[in-house]
Amino acid sequence: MKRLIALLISLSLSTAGLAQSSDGIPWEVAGGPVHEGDEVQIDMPEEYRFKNTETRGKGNCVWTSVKHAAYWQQIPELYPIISWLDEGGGWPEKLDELIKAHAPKVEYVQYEGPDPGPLLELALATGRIACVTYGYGKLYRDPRTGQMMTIYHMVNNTRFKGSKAAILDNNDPKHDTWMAKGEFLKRAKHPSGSAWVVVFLASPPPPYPTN
Amino acid sequence: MRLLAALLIAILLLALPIATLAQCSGGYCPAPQAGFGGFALQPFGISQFGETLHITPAVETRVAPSVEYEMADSDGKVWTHRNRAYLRGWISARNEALKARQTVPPVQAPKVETAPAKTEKPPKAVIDPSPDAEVSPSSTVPERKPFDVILASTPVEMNQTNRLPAYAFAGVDRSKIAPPETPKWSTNSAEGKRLIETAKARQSVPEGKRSELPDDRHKPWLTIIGTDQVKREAILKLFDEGKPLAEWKDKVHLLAVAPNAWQVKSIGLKSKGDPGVIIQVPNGEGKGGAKVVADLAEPTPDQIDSTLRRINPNFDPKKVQGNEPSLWEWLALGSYLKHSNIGTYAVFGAIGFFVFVAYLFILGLILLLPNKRAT
Repeated sequence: MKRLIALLISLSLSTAGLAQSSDGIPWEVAGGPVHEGDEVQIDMPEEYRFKNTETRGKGNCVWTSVKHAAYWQQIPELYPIISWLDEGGGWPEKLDELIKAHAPKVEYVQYEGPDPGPLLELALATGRIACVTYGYGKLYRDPRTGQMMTIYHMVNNTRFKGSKAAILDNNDPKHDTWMAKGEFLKRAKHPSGSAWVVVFLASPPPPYPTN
Repeated sequence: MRLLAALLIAILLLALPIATLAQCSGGYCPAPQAGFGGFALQPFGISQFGETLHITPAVETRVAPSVEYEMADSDGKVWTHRNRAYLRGWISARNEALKARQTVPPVQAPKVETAPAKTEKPPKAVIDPSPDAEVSPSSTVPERKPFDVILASTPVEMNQTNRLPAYAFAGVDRSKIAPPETPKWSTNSAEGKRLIETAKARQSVPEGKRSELPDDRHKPWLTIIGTDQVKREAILKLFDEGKPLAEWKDKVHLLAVAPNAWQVKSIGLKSKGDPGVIIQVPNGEGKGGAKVVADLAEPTPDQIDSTLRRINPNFDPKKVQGNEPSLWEWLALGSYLKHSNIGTYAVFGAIGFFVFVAYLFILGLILLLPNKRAT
């Protein structure tokens, strides 16, 4: 009985402790390509980390994320993607239309739904960068309340491995933003419960030579 | 003792919702449901051009069928709407109007003495007359104190702290993304269809139990490095133009870059030719990097083809496709002819041959020895 009680005490304390953080917000670190010994799977060169822009008042986060993928996977057809836009803002069918009209040979996969994990796993493990929706984060806090606000944003997923995930956020492209993998999935699906993932199939850059 | 155990179980049961609450702060949380608890989302605001537009999801559910947005603008009007996309359009149009207004210098109107208002009334609700809009059924909006507070405060304070521009918050039209109940896959290629099948199969397996990724990490890398783009692309095109290189297109990672491109410069990958072709073979699971197995200067298609066939048999393209030869094929010399690869197949064929010869030799000795003793 004593053992059972001890087990219950430790279980209850650890359950509460795991979820709580000092400010009640899940952990998130805006850092570099290495976090506590773990590396990003996609280390985007500094000169190709682009900042989000706007076209006629609407954000180009989708197209900046696509541009990151184009530079990472050497898809020159997509380099001028932002210049094709009449207006910012993005959604899956708009991407289909743009690629069909301007770069029909570029191969890609899109997913919209509640379980983006396996596609992200596959993309990142094969060295491909993924473009993923992002619903909230520490960068997007209401200065009045300190609460994170709901956003309608797209970022690049640069790590999806083990217990951690990292993103390259085009609103803060100098940093790699780290968080728990489960937390990243929550953010990717927020607020509708559905994430949108875009992965281009072109080959990623070659690995470093070992001889 | 039993009482104490019951008490601890109660604490444990209490800890779980506390943990959920902590994780929900700022994140996605299920909508409040009668009898089940739950947490509503915080309202969010977009501040720009000196005003704050606050959008409050009045009722947020997982599928969001009845999301009702209330929005107050700086003119004191409260808007109510159900269509998120329409609201986004409204914000955009309004911002453009405000932007245009800002470019025109304001005219100083003479001060006019007006009679004081009898009573301070809450802002009147305005329902957008657009025929396409899904207008909230309530045509009158009751008093909304939180909005009055927001509008009364100075948006400048918010702008100073929050330095991100408004477009940084909204670049995705979520209303045009498939809902979680009806997930959607799409691709424009056969390779993409294969990837989708793999990802779909993995979705049905819990994360901890998923097998190794059936991916293309084990493919060799063929990097064309050259200063002349035309020459680089000429080599790349060979992989589209039939034999002998077309069959390799999907079996290697192909890349054509200039010598100063970051993809090769950052890792010190150089070729002796201009253009040259570097072929690398990955070091295997968990090791990182890839060994350079060939550096071909201005190669012909046949040279590239033969090099790809000669490289480490672990990277045989037929093996990459999951089309491994059977044990019998490994031992048979015929596998060499079938796969046109002298590597491991020939080695195993030779081993098989020597084992057979050794067997005959030992058999011969056994048969001959008694005869010698007899004589």
